[in-house]
Amino acid sequence: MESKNNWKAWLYLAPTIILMLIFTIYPLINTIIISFLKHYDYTQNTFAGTSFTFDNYLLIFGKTGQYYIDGTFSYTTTFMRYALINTLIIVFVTVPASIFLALLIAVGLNSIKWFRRIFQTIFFMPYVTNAIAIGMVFAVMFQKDFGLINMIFGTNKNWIDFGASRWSAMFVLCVYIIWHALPYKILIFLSGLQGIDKQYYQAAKIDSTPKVKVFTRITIPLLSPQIAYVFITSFIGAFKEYSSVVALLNNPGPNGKLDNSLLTIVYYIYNMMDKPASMSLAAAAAVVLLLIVLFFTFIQLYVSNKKVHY
Amino acid sequence: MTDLKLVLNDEKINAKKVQKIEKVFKILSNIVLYAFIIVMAIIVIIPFYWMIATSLKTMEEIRASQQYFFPKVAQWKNYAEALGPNSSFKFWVYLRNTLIVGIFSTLGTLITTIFAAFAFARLNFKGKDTLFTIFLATMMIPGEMLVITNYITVARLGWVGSDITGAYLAMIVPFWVSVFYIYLLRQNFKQIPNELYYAAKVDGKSDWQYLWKVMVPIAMPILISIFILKLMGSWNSYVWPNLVANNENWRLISNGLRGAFQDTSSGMIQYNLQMAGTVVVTVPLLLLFIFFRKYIMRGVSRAGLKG
Amino acid sequence: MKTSKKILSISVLSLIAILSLTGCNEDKAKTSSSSNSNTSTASDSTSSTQIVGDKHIQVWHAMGKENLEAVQTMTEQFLAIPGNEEWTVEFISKGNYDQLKSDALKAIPAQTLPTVAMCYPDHVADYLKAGVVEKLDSYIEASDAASAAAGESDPYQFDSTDYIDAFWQEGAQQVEDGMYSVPFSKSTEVMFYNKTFFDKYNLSVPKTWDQMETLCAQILAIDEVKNTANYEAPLGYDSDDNMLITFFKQLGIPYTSIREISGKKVGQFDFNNQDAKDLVTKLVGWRENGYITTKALLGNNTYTSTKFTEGTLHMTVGSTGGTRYNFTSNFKIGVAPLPQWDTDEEPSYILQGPSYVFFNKKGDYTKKSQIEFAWKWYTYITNPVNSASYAILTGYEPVRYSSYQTEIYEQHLDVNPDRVATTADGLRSAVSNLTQTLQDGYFTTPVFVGSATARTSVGGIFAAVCSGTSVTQAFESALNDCILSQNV
Repeated sequence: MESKNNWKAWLYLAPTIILMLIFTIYPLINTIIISFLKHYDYTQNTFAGTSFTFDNYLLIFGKTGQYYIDGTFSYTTTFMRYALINTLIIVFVTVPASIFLALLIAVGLNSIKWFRRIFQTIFFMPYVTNAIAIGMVFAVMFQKDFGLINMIFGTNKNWIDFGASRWSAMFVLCVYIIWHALPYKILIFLSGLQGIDKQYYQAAKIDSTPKVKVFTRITIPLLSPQIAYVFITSFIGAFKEYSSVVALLNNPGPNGKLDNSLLTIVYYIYNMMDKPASMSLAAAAAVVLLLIVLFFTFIQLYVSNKKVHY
Repeated sequence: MTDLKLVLNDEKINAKKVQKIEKVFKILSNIVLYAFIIVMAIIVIIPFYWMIATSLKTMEEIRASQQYFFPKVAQWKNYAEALGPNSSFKFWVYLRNTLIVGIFSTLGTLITTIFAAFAFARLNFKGKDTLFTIFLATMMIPGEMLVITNYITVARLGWVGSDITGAYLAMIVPFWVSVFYIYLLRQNFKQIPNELYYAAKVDGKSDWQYLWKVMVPIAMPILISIFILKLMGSWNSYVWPNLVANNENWRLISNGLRGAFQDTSSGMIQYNLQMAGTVVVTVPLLLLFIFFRKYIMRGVSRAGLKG
Repeated sequence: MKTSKKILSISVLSLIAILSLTGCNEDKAKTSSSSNSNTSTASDSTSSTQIVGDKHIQVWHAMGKENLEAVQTMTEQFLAIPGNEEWTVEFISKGNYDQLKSDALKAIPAQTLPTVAMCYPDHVADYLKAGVVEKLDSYIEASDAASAAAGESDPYQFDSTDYIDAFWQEGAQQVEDGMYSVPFSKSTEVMFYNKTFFDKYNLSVPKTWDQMETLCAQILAIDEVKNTANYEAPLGYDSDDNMLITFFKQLGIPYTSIREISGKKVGQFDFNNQDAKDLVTKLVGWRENGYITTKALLGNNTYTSTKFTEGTLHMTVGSTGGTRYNFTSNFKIGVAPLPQWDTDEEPSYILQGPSYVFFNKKGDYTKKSQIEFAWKWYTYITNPVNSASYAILTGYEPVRYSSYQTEIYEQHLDVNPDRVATTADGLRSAVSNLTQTLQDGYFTTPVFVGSATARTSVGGIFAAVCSGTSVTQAFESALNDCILSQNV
């Protein structure tokens, strides 16, 4: 309609665009360029070779190389074997699980009469904590010999201590991530629920519709905008998971420095970035992450455009 | 007639029965409901309890192989030590820095967010959808990847290692844009009926006036909630401030927390003091939430609506 | 039109605001440097504005509070020396050495390096590759001459030959010729043992690792040990990295080396060999028998010294710099040199601990005079008396031969045997007496880009194999990590 608004709109957007160009787009382009340079060294702004190369991408997907004494070796298979797989596990376990739990808790909170405010406050508490400190608390709670969890269940399982298996450590990690992800989701669902017209429920009550049916036929469809929104944002968040592993293990795995069994993509990026020599690999991994996230997000947007009731 | 009466009577009895069953069912489901919520609440609260308990224990208790649920004797002096003048955790200095950085980065964010959200929600221009998609796509970029280039940028601007103003700027300016909040506010602005806009136009109000006189007041709850969420964000931000604020007195609160209470030559952490510090850092945030709960809830409730 | 003007002006204003803030900040930096350069002293590093100017140096460190305070006190004395009063020294804590290195690497392209920083020689290799390290030879010569000329009254008392040889030579072991770092606080590893326990069961302290193996079996057979709850092992080794590197050295197993490839010195990783693998297999056998544990195997960032003081370990190998963490009043503690594999060979003990590196910052944002002043500061804080008092405080070793002849250090060394068991000071003193006799056996490993990674990844091998990785695979992934850290 108002095409004359064209330049005005750009003026309104100017501060945002300028800042984004400097602090997001420029570093992003820089990263993409670096991902195509061999052995980019940020301390000197130099790289090996003369032209763009796909080597960094091939390397993170396990291309083998030549080393001057021992013959061949594989550069690194940690990206494929651990970083990628672990990240996908985290995403596809914690996102649905935390959304489901948050939904249940939110619906529960919405239908109780007593202590509602206190409970709301309690469920928001993980949001206001220092992730690193609480991660340490989780580590202590899941300790083998004197941890709270083994104490409560009378078990003697090695969860995350030395010698723990990848899957038990992954379990603890997922529990921690879900725990930490709950409050924000509960909050959004709760406020979404409070926005739902009470008439729907009254109608259901008159028809004496079973509660499960009310939940699946009324609550979920009416909450679908919130659910879709939470799905997309927490999906992106879960793909970038990193600090939870640091908080819990301070290492990409429970079994010493060579253990990468809980490596995530961003952790891999961080590790590679730490040494000037492997910066190019970090850049390539970051671009791969970006592509994966874009792919999943577009799928989600597509699905939610079809399914969400507004 | 008698037949009918009978049936009626029967129904009466049935209705009573049904009512009774319903009542029992209601109580039962309430019990289940509360049990579920209480169990979840306990799960949520246990780490906090552990944090507080640890902050009141002695180092010997923490390091002992046998752990106890309660501290033997509550060591309140841990708090005095953690916050005292001899502590390496300079709470008040960190608090001041965090508040300054938090407030200024939030104000900047609010301004850019209001403008951008207004443009996306209300105005029409070529390439609007493409631009918005690009904006959303930037949310998917792992921030870690941008760190090195951005560090060089802020260093070139003279903000690293010069003085405290530089450190503040380095911690504030790169965070003046938040696509997430632009998205949030755009959703909110879109909720405002078009009729209001046309009415304002008829009244001779310009876009600018309409934005500040109509849209911003309507969106006030979400603006307040953005303010609070962003402030909480700077309370917890770690990686970037750690890099650019390379002086004890420029640190933000979570950097201070991480660095303090650790013996650097041995790497041993005084967990009790660290947890005491953590408790002290957490409480203000919790109070902020309790105090502004209404706004935060109202703010995020718009988050998921159609865009 | 009116509105659009407003918007335009606001946008322009916000842009100007951004730019002017930058400008302001630069102006401020300039004025503050000219006006208050001499009001701030070392202890004043707590003042909230930092002084940037010519007569100012910045020190990046990773010292704890007590150690920093000691250095700050020395620095105040240094700044009181005539000619130094106008200068300021600022200490910036980086928390730990990894963080320090990581920040320094990022500071190279950003041109925000400090004048001087604490370092491990491994780190210097990376800095050197980027071309930002100041070669110290000329400074050393100049200071040697100056101190010799000044005589007894000289506060610096510099004499490059007086620095303990093993410590000093470490700074010259880069791939380029010359001195690139200078020693500050140096330590080695010794074995602490539970003397009460050893005396009770009449056990003798092992001199070789073979004796250790027998001893461990012997200890595990003792009833008291069998009944100890949560008993870890007879022996703990705090540093996984040092354990394998020291064992390689003692057994003559290749670890890393420097070779020349087309005229350029390049670091090389040699540890992926059969002898090394056999050693690891043997050690894993020890672990399976319950003889040994390490910090990595304990997990949760638990030090073996912690378990030692709790009584669930009877011996622990740890850094002399962390002596105080091995002290407990629960039992008597003994100190012994690290056992050896081969008694026919000269004994080998690892040399570790931070040094100082000076940055020339490639580019013109630093002045030669600043490096010179930083160098002078270094010579002062490592003069015989200062080095001795720092060593006494921390448990590190003095870096000067003549420190041992200072009055305070002689007092420190003169210890009543009873005090060893009853006070932490006594234990430190016993350690100092011991390490004085070990210095000929100190070794370091070659330094090059990637040597830091070699250390940590080799240090991960033992833990990896203990947790079920195959020996071959563990060595291979360690080698992969190493190669990734090098631009081959």
